[in-house]
Amino acid sequence: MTKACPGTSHYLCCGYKILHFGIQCSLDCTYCILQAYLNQPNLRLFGNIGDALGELEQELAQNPTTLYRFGTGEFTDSLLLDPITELSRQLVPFFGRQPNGVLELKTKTDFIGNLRDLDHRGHTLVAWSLNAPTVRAREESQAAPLRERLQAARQCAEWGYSLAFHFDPMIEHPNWRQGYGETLDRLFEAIDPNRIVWISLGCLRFMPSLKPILQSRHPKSRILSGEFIRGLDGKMRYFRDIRAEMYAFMVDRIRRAAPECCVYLCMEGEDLWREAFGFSPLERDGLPAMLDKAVFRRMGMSRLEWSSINSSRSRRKCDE
Amino acid sequence: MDPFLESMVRVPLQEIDWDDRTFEIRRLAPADGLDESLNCCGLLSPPWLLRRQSGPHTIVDGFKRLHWLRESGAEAAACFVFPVDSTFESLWLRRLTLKAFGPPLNVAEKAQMAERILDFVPDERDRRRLLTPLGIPSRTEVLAKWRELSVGDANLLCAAARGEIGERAALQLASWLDEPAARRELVELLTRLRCSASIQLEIIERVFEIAQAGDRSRLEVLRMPEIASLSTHPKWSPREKTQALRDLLTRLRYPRLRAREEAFQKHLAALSLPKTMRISPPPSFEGDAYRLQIDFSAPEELRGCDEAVRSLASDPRLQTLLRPTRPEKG
Repeated sequence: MTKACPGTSHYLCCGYKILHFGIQCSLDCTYCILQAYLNQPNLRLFGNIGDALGELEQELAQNPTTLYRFGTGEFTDSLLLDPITELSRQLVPFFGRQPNGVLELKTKTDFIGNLRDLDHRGHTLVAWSLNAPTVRAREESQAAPLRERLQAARQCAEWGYSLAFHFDPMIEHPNWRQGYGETLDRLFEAIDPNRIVWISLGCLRFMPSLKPILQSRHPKSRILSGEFIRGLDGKMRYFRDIRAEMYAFMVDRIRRAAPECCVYLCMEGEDLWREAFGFSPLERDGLPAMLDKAVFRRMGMSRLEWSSINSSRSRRKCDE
Repeated sequence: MDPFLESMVRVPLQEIDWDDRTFEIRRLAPADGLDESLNCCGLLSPPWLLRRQSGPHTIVDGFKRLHWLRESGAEAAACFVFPVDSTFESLWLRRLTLKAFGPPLNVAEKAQMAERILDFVPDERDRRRLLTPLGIPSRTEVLAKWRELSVGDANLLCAAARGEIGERAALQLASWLDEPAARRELVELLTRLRCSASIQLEIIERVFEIAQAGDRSRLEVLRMPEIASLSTHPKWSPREKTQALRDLLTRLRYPRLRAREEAFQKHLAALSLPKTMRISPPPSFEGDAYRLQIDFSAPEELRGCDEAVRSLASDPRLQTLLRPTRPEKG
């Protein structure tokens, strides 16, 4: 029930781990890759969460100098069913007890009610996927509106949670600068940048097999009309100059409002990193190390010595 | 014994209702093989008829054979005659089974078969049994697409029956219900170009996506002056027209990628590389792995290339070649 982020060859991965508690999602976003990944439409939750957490606790204890970043939002929305399952009431205190583990709950909902008063001890970050208003309305119409997502984020910040935001998938559309600029403005109006551990950026990419599914399930969606090419991993991606332009715009706008915030590209190559940021993570110990640093800097994980983790990583690097 | 097999009857042709097309599956293309067989040996298997309560018989199977008999001046035919109380569903099941396992069918016949199977064969196992030899999946949404083709544009169905439009292209075009005029024009264009099935599909998708990206109708795309002029070019062969159309549609579909390719070629030309050296970018400029290719046939030639490579590496124009150019504002 735990596995490494599937990542993809030729592109840089964030190196987080997936806590796999269920599959499928009923938000029905037009671009959702699950439409092609999964051949069953029903939403399934696993019943042996207790076993998974037991195994997880053991693994974390066996590697006390390794920081584990876990997420639950890979094959479903982290909070979509939380009002019914109340799973967060188990997971958040569990991670609060793990000195070397953090949990990221990724959602497009505002179902945060169960997070109130949980003993998170700074080990959970609640993350929202954000998009331009027109993309939200057209392509993720059953997810919470932007205003509600940001209100929920602000509420979580008031409850002491760290936050993260994911502009993924970014979709090129007429006036995309205005659209994404507006969402960033609203984000930084609503949220104190110091509460944000990271912001990720990723342009729409999909397996070729998603195309006919999307055409048949969402015939009015226009997202397939972009200039897609086949990426090095076989997935369809916007032609790289378009991605470079979108990332450069976003990084510039985020830097203006939150110069210290960790911003990263999800599944992109070094060439695009250099264009957007002027450096490649590989020159700085890699993307996972960048994100680890952001955790230590923003989440105040006092019980874990950064130096020990850092030296452990360096040792591993030397061993390699 | 199947009662059906006991009902072989000699039926006068004037007792057949020639206008009743209830069970017809139209071929929409010449049936040369059948004509040849009939002219050579006459009827080899009996047609099927349905006896009615009163009045002439309905043809269930053997339309072409019976018409051939009538035109040959025959007065009667030996037929299998189904009893008057036969159900519609049982007759269709037999008719469709005979067709599915008979000689190869063209796209139009397959479309009509799919339509009838969807309408008259509710049992999932029967559907699969009949559809497997046709190469059609039994999922309802797939059958619905075939039905769209069967009941839709007659021109498209005929072009598909003649093999001028490929199966997948025909199914794709059948779904253009909202733009019948665009569909008609594209069928005409593809028929004139006589290109392969995969190229037809590429052209259809490109037209669709260009229209969608530009928020305009497919008809507007097809009526662009550039497309009109190349498709009616007086000197080009269909192959040349097809290539020109594909190039144009690719340019329209991927304007920034094409602009980058052209800029790359311009900068490459400015480097004036020796003919034995070539630089190629990664496919679609994805990633940063550019390739330098050198042709040589002797060590001296390779030494000469070494000199050229050194000079290229220090040429500031190489950086311009590799440096990405930003696309126009989107």
